[in-house]
Amino acid sequence: MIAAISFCLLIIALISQVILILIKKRDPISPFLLAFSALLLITETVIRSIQIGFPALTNTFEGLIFFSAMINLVLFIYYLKMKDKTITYVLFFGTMVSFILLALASSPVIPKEVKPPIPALQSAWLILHVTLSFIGEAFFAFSFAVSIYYIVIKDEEKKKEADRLIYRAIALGYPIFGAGGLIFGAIWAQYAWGRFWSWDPKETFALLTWLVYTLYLHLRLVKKVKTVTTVIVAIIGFLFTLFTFLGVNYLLPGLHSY
Amino acid sequence: MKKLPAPLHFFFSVRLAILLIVILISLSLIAAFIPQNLTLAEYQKLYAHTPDIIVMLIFRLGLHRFFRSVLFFVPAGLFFINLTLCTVDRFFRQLTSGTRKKRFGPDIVHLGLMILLIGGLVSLFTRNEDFAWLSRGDQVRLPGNRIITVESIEYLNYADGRPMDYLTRVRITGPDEQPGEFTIEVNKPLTIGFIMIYQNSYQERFLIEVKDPAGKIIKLTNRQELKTPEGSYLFKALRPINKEEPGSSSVEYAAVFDRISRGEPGNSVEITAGKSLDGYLLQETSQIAVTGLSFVRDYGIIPVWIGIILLLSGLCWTYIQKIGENNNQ
Repeated sequence: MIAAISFCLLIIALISQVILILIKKRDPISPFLLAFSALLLITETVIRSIQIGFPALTNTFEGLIFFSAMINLVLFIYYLKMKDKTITYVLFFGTMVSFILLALASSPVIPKEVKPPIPALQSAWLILHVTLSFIGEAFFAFSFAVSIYYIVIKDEEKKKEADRLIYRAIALGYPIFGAGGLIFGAIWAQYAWGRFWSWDPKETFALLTWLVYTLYLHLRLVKKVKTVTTVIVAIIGFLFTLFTFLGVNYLLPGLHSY
Repeated sequence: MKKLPAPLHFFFSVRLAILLIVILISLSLIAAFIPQNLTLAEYQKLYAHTPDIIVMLIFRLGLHRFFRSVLFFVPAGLFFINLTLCTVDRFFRQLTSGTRKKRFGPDIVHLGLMILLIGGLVSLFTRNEDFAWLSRGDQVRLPGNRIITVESIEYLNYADGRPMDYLTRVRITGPDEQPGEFTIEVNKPLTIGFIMIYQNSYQERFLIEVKDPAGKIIKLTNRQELKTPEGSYLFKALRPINKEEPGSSSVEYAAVFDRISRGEPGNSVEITAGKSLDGYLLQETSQIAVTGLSFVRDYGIIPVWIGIILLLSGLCWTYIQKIGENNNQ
């Protein structure tokens, strides 16, 4: 029910963003809808956690709503920092990503039962691994939204500003994802399965995602590389992020499939 | 620093790092979609709808064991060399430069990554893993003449029957130490020196005791063979034959066997306690809990942990410094 209300808020936010883009006005509404949506999704996560006696981050549904909440929060924080300079297009593209994730969460293929975790998932390292992964990926989602904006606009000054935003988002998300997704995940694997790294599909794609963003950060050091190249790499990075989270579960099952 | 000739200078460059990252991403992406470590027959079955050359290429190029192949180790090795040279070069350039703003955070991150990769290599060559199915009372001997004895095995489940926890309680005795009792759980391995013992699996197994015509007792669990002069029988399961609830002490079971003919399972045979099969008397039937423990020894753990600590420290240092600079502007 709470996730459904949050979903409706995102629809309203998207509609208001489209209207404000078309009439070329500032957006004073949707950031607060996003913040409220994030609050509701986090509340849903907390309620489920109390029901199972463990942080509710152990299945795809819980991962999707938490990821959506983090994206909404990052968009809201962006609005708080930028105020009048907030780019509505960026809010729109970011909200679209969050909306698609929530739509997926509400689909019948994703089980929504509240179930306590099996023994392999009962670990403090899981909490660190999953929360930091999604927080890092929320910044990647934001960089994706700005990258799409970069591709769409023609104004060179706006492109420069977008490029700076993409870099700052990835610079923030990269260490958080690196620590959470890779390092804490490896530590958890060591305690659960007896090896830090097994090259299972989820781990391999998480590493590939990290390598794509490593590529992005290093490409920016080379002066002759055009900005559009780094923007395309940022887009590819987020596609890898989505495939690591969702595609691997359904197309390449391994140890991580629960 | 004196300018190196162009070919050598390339090894110190970010461009080489970028090239190697692109190569590693591309090759790893291909390998990630190919199931790893299967046999030739399994790949032929999996890719039966594709031309034969596909499977041949998978094997020839080492894509079936990509992460242990030359195709992976060469670019990864070059990446390690490039990373080392760039890190050393960057570190000394900062140290000798006159600028006040020095950022060693990324150097510590790179150093951590290098040590992590070394740890991975050490693990590749020194990691040893053994697995054992043990029931209550079974013992395992470890290096240093230590003996682990399984004292109890416990399976806890949720109300819906899903597993909640598996616990194995063990007692460790050794020539130079006081006996100790420990519990091994999933995510909570037991460490003894360089050996870590993991709670890997749990099973409920059927156990039967059979007395042969000479009076010798033979114990069999699921999938074990009973060889008699007249044939071989594969013990499959226990089937409850009265109306009491399975698991209750008053349930009677029949032992179910598959007769093995020319190496293949044939007809089923069932006997109850007190009855014979080819002169072999079934005396007792029971169900026992069996724990699956993994024993892992890996000398790579130490450099991996050092690498992790350095990586995390370097990341923190980089960002604390960056935030400090932003606040000062």
